[in-house]
Amino acid sequence: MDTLVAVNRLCKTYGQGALATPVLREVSASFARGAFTAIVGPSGCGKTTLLSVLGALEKGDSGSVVVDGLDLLSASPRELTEYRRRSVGFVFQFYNLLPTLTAVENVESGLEFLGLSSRARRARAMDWLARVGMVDLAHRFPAQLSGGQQQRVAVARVLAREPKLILADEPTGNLDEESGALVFACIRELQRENGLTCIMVTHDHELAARADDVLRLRDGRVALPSPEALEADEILTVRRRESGIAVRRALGLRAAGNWR
Amino acid sequence: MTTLLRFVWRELLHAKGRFAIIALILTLQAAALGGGYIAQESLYFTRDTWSERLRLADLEVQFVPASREEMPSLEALRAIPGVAAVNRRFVSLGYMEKSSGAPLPVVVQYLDPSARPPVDDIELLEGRWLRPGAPDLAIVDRSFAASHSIGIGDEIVLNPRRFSSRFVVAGVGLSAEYLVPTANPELLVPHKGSLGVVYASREALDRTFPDELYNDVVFSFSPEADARATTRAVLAALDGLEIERVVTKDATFGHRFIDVLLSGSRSVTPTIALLVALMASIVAFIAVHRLVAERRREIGCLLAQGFSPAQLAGCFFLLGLTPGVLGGTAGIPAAIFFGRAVARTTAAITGFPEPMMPSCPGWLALAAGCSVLVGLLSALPATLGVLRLRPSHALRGGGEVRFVGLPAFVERLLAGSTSVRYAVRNVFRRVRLSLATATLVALAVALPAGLLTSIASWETWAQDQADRLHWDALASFKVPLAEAQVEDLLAGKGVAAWDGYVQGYASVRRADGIVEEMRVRGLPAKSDLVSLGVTGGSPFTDDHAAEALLNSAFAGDRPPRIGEVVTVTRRGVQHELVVVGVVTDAALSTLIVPRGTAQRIFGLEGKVSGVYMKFGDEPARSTGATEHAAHPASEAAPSTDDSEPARPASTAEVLERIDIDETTARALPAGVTNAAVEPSQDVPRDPKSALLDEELVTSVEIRTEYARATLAYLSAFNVIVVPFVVLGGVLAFLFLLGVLGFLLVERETEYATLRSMGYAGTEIARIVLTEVGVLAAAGIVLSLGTWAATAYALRVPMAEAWFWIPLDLRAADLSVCCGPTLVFLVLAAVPGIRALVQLDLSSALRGRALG
Repeated sequence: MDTLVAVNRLCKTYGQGALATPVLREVSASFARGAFTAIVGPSGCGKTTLLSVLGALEKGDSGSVVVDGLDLLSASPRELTEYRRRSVGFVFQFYNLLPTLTAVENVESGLEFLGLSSRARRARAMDWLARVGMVDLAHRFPAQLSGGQQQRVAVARVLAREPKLILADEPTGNLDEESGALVFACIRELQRENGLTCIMVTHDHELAARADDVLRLRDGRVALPSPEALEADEILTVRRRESGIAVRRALGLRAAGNWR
Repeated sequence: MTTLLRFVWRELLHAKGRFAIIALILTLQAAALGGGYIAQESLYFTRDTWSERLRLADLEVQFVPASREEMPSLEALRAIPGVAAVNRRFVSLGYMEKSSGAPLPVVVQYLDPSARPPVDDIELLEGRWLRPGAPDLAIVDRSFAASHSIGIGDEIVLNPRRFSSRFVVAGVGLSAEYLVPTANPELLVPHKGSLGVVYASREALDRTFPDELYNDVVFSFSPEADARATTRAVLAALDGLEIERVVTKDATFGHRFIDVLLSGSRSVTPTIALLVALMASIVAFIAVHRLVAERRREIGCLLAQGFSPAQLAGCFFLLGLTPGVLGGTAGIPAAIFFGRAVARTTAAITGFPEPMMPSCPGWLALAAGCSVLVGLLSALPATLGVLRLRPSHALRGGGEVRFVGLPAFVERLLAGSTSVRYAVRNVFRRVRLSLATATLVALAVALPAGLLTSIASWETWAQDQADRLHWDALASFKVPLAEAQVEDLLAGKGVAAWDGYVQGYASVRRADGIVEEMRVRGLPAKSDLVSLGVTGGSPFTDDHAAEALLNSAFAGDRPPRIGEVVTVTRRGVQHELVVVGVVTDAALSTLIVPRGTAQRIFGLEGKVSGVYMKFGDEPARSTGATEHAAHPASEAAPSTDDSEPARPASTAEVLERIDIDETTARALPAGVTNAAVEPSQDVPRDPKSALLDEELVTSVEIRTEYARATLAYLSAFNVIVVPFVVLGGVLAFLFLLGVLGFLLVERETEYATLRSMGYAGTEIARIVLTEVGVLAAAGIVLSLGTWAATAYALRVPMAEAWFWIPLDLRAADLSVCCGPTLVFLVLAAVPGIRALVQLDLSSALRGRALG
């Protein structure tokens, strides 16, 4: 498969001197275009930091991170801004919806730099809200939505921008099991149907097992999976296939449409 | 308790910037309150110190010049019970020419050169005192010297075009009599540099006249003396003299001016302090309130651990007290600094000497105490809120705002991009906080704008007063002149029309029984030139009516009443007059009566003390109804040819026509020459200079000059408004700095989210500035009301102290004050924007989104 993201000997250290804490130690990994990769590992192993570097939210100290030909470590601030506008989208654990914007306006907020007319922006935002099953609640403010509903709006906000890369930082971590499952299925199905590349950080091995690939981090390094983990992955892969269709039906998701 | 104290201490350290802002604002509050009063105390103290040190006369008696033999001896006067010291002198008014050629009125006091005056002494600031045998030496007043760059060794030519005298400046001095010099003491408008004050050796006078002449005696009273009884005794002793005027210490222009000026500023100081305190309390209240809101979880945790609500409330009370104490303490030197600056500025504007700073522990304690109080009161609501908190409730946080949209009609007004909607709606997320911000902006604009409006209203009033006058100039004569003499005097000086007035001083008893020495001015009942300016009641019925107009300005608790009967006593003769109307002039102690009545009171039938004039090409003519008198002038100096302009009468001719001592008139002084500098035929003389060339003209006041001087004086006070413009702007800046700091921290995750979606620094700045712009716009809209209210609030006490004038609300004044405030608001947003642009996105996005 074609590689969209290539990480090579990436290092990142927080603090200086005696307080210096290495978070990423020569991490190397590649993420295939159109693949759904889960990053797993214990707390403090560098998962979120790696995701932040991939999303150009912060810079690595050394090594290289190349996304679709752009080296994020040597890119200019303008290139990074452009990268965030057009190439990458984030789904956060706490949704991070703007509280004074309605659901549809939140989705629209991600479309401001695509050169669309306001009518076109509204149409695309409504389309994506429909895909995540939120069209009926499009004009509600975040405070009037449940956690799961907010996260689905957040997903629509990301996908409406048609990014090459979706980064999801524990998107179900703040949700109950049922809502989490719905949100995950939503992301997964839409990713698959639209051929998107998605990298998701999660503590949930069950969700990780539903990914196309799993990257394990330990103490800032890429760790090889244990035999037990590999066995668990196989079991979960079967369950994932069984539950996918049911979840999609529950959400009322449409098949990939004509949005590309 | 140790834990709580540690908690408080760490909170202080953690939020040191916010507490520093509160402390700074409370410092400014103390500075405004204490400084305002200290400035006033300083001016009072300076006046009283100089008055005491230089023994400002308790009583001055001015009279028609008399020889030493005609008046009581100094020993006899000193022996009057209650009199501590006495001095006699000769005071004359002349003029000199400035470097521009324009005439400048000069008061010359002829003093004994062998001794310092026992009353109304002069503090020698520079140079040396007069000395016997050197009649040409003179001391000049410090304000005169400074305004016209006159230094030691310079020559002053007095009356250069008539009986001229030359003096060499030997020293520069300060007199308590001329603390605020003005050429026109009739009006309460000081005009720095408008009057020259020269102290000359009386040897210069004695060589001029064969007699030792005096026209002024000054007395200082013993501390235990009964001033009224002593005054009566003094006037009885001087009964043989033709007394023109009696001036008490309180009626001295400089003395009274300070009283009047400060009564106005003292009346508005509490209003200003209240407004600043209001602004400070808004800032302090919001800051402490936010602090408690941010620490709800920690408070809940401490409550859960067993600490009582009272203990925690005490902690936050301590937090509120700390900036109050800091602000109050720092406010003491700030008040001294501010007070000094205001006093010095006022002194510089009015020509008052360098202010001395008294110790004002009372005002400083009041200012510091008010700051502490405002700090405490501002912390009180938040502290009481802590007392009501339940642990379970506090532990859940609850500081976040649940935004569920705006009313539909507001939503319909929202246009623009999503980011603009986000920015505008953010204003409504914390409505009370936004309201407080807008209120603060409104107050910050309103305070200086209100002060500017006060000054602008005075300017408009002064301009209106000047505009309603139809005359161009006012001249006063050395001696009362008949109409024909006046016509002769004014001939060839470009005077197209004139009308005379009569003026003198007399005792006036009001209906309340209080007797006051007042200026009585007789004006024509009907005149094209002279407007009575009646603001209440009616004008005179005729030129001889037993009627009067009283001034409602500076009347204090003795406002004039229509129908009130006043008794004017002049040389023992009483004249009862009915007050038929009031005028509103910036003049003190003036009674206006019909001209004929004034002529009767002062025994000047057919004569006038001065004239109002209209300049033009036409020959001089009287427009009024002056009692017609003989026309000796026209006989003495008839015009031989109608085509020739009238020849000005020579001094000798005019002196001959008026009934003064021939010996005096003809005894041309040794060393003093008549018309020493002949007017050049080539250089056209302006009417003022031409008039002053005449020996019989004492002073000439040009209306436009007076109007300009008044407006310049009032405009100068705009300088005092500058600190308040800055203060308001700084308060708004600091407050918004704190508010934005808090709001941006609160919304850090949101901005980080926007950044993660590709919003660049410029877009983030646009969002923040849009929000600030909406707040500023709300503040400006609100300021329209607060501005008018503040101007009115400042006007009311000032009207009580002085008099009422209409408010002139000029949009320009508001915009002048809005400008700096808006700039400060934008500047306040800069640190927040910079922080957001430099935000550590990764770290910010790990936090929980609020909302």
